[in-house]
Amino acid sequence: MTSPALQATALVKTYRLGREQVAALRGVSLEVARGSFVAVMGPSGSGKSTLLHLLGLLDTPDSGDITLAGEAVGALGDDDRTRLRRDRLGFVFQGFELLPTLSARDNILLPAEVAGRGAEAARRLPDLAARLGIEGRLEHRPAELSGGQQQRVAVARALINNPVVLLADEPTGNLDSRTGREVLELLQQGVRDQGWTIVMVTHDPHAALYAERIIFLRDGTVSGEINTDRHEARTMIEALVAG
Amino acid sequence: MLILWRLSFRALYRHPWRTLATSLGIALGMAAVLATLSVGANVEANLRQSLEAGVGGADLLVVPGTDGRAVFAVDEVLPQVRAVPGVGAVRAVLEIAAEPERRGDAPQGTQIPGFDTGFRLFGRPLPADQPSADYASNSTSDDLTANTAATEVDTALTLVRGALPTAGSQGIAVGAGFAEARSVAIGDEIRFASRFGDLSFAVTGILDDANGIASSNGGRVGIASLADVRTALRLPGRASYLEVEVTDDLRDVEARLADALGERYLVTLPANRGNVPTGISDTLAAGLRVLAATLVALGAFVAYNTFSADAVTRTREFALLRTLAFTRAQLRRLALYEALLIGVLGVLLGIGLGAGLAFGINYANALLLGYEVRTLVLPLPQLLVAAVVAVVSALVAAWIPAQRAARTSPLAARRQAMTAPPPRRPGAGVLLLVCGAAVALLPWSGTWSLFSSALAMGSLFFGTTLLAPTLLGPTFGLLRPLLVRLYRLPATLGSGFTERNSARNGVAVGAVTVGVSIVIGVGAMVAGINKSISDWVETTIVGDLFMSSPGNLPAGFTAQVSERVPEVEAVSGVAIRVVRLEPSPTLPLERARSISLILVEPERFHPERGFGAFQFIVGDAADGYDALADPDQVLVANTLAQRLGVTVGDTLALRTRAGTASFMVGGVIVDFTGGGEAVVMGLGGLERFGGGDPDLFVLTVRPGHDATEVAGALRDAFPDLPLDVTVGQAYRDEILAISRRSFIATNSLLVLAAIIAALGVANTLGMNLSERQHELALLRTLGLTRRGLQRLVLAEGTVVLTLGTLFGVVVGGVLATVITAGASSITGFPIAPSYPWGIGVAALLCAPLVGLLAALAPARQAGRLEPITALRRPAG
Repeated sequence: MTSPALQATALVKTYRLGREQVAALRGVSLEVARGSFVAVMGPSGSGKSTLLHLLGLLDTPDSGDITLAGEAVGALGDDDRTRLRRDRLGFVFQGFELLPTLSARDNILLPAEVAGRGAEAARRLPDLAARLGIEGRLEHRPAELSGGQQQRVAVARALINNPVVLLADEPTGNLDSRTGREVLELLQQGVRDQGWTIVMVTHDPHAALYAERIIFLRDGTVSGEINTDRHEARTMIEALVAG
Repeated sequence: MLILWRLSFRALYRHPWRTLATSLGIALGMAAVLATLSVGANVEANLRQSLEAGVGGADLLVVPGTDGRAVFAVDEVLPQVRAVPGVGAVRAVLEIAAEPERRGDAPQGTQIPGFDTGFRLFGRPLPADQPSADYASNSTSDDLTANTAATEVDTALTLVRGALPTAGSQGIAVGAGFAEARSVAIGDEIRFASRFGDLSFAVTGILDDANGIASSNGGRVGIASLADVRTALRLPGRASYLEVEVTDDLRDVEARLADALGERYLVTLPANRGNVPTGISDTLAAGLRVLAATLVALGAFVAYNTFSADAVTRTREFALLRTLAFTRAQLRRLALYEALLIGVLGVLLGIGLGAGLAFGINYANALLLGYEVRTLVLPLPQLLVAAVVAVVSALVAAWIPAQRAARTSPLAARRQAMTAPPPRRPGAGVLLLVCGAAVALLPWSGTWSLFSSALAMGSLFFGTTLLAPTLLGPTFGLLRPLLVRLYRLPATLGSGFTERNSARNGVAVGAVTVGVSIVIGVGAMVAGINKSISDWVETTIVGDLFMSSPGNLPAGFTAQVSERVPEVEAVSGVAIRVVRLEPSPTLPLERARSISLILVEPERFHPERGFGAFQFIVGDAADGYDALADPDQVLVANTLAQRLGVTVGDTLALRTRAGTASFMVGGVIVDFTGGGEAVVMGLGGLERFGGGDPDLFVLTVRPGHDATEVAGALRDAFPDLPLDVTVGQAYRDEILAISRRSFIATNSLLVLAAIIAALGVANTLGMNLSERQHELALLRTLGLTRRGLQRLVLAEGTVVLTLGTLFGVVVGGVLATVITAGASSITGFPIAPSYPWGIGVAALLCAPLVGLLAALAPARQAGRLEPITALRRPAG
């Protein structure tokens, strides 16, 4: 049996804000199967971002375990976590986060070059760029690209190392609705045709509906979960969002 | 890894001004090191070329040896020289100091024995008839010729006007510079006074002083026929030295000649003939080294400042790289690669700046040492050392910021509050300041004082940087009434900005502190040196009148002075010679060195009866008198004593006319003659060092008489003697001016320190602004006018500059002690810091104004900010 792409068990994370302790996550568990598209929704302060940070190995939980492609990451040191992040995870951010000094091509190839696989990635790049519709924009700097194009470049960068999971943090938050839709369709198509695995944090119900499964967080716990292929999904989302 | 290099390069390329400013900091440090390290090489190269120019095409010189004679009979040695295989043409030269009689309209100046070489008259073998301007001699001369049919060209004596004198014509060709200064024309008769008698020559030609002999000694040279000079001086068959051309391997011929001639003659390369005490250039180089080290530290601090601020500014970028792919080690490497590129750029800029600075120092040294600037040398080893220092200082400066960058959490990119100040550490700052002050104020000696200088500087500067953020608020509070009056509401907003960006502003305060404290610290050192020289002049150069004469003085001259001018109370002679200090079993020097020997009459320094005094480092006035009265004792200048590691009771081996003799050190005194490389002994010892008359007479005037009037009476009393009489204070002022010239280069480096510091401040303020564009744009969006934004930036700049200056004045005062101790230990001069408090007060008063000026460009830049454009950019 194939191991899930990502598995989190009883994640707990507490922050100190001034003199107060704030429990961001209070024992969150979830499993993301390979080739699936999962959205995480919840109101502000529900713990979405904290969960994404823990799943992305950007932060460590106070307790609980995370397994990435069958490998437990809890005991790994910083360098090993970095390597794992580089080789098995891809990130797409709301603000695109491209390096302004590099061209689109260099931005995309950056994680591969750091990993020492630049040549191999460069061979794959034309195909990937064509699939994302940015083949004509590779030599441009981020400032010369539209928001949608920048986000496609960010997606290409996230995918260049063939990650196990692509983590997206409000990927359409800075885009207009049409461009946002295009990006989401792109992600959906990638999951369907290429077998990508995506975990997307969003507060936008329309965006969440592009995922196969939506996990709802409230006050640091999982408050609900639905499959979007159910006929009444939209109504359920609205109910859950409304609280 | 190529990608790291690429990212580094692009990061630098993206911020060209920041890159240039940081590189410039490193480059200025390197330039200072390069210029300082090449001081010795430049002095040597220029002196060598001057000396070589003075002997034309000669390969070797034969000069009188250990017996100290000024001239010798040519016949006595010529056959032996000619018999040596490999010897080509040989020319006898008679070279003497001969002072031309001054005319009424010619500029008059005091000639200081021991400092000024005066006019040099060369009697050279010239052809009997030589009409052409370009002259090559060697086939004809009066009493000696080549032993081969030599065809080599002698000194190219290029004339700009007239012709070379011919033998028997009593003619002379003089340097163009001299001719111009004295308004001398062809056909004029010039009378010279010399130790060998009076001379008179008619000018036949003006020599081009761009090359050859005329290019030496500032053009103050004259060429006459050897035969005529010999006749005029009544020195038949005599020469000062023989110029030898060789036809074989130079070193072999030199060795063969030395073997053949023995102790009575010395065979030397033309470049080794110089009599400038090596100590002067050593002193210069040593003094400059202290400042160069300080400038390197300052340049590195500017670079650290930039790298630090950069690490804060680029937190988001670093965090993103950590998120995407980079390990901590890779991020650290990225930061260090940038530093390396900055270092390389700094080296490239530094070579250019260093060459310019070296030229300036070379020029200053040429003024001091009396040589012409002929070449600029940047020796490869020194260049490499300076380059390594530059690159290493860039890497050292980047190390802490690189560590900070490496510790960037990947999450930092996701946080909104990117510019949240790091935790303040005022306690650590205070601790560092206390430690730095303690290190600076402790009485270190020797090389420890240098080490402690560096340690104190480092501690004080980093302490300032750590403590400053905590004090920004209170400083703003103190300045608030002034700032609100000047800038109104934006001043209040500026307060928040100043505090919120306190860490970065702390570094800016550090940069200002460094600049101000270096100016005050090194200024105190220079002022201390000047005070030491003044004290020496006021204590030792005591007398109402100082009298010298380029001519021969009659026997019993001293007694005649008292007889003919009764207003003169006492007359005391002083002779100044350059002697060779030889290695000895008790003082194993690497090689012999030239030092100044000052011979004085002991009675002048009698504790009760005398009117002169020394400043004693070891010993007292009674010991000094005893030492001067003892023909085998000397008093040693403190600088020389420290460099040689000798003290009272040790012995020095000096070359006398009877061979090398030992002299016991009877006391250690302060003396700046010859750059501090001097020994003093009784005038009775003059015969052992070549004899002759004193070069200078120090006179006191009976009470109630005016020194200026007595000077006139002296000239009237000896109408036939070319007496140069100077009133005491004018003479002392002249010596003071000459001595202080040694520090022209030091002062120029001080200006460089101020430039580096200013660069650091401008750099930091610029970076502050570029990082805060988002916030500033937000304020514009919320309604702050362009003018308001400018005022806000100006308010912040004023606070930073004021706090930095306050720190700088205090830290500079503390640093002055240790910098001066370091300089004193290197140069050997007894220096106590003399605080230029005037500069400190001026700095404090000017700080708000300077702050205003420094912040003006960034403020204008802020004023031009378009809210929409800036708001599109992510915060931080």
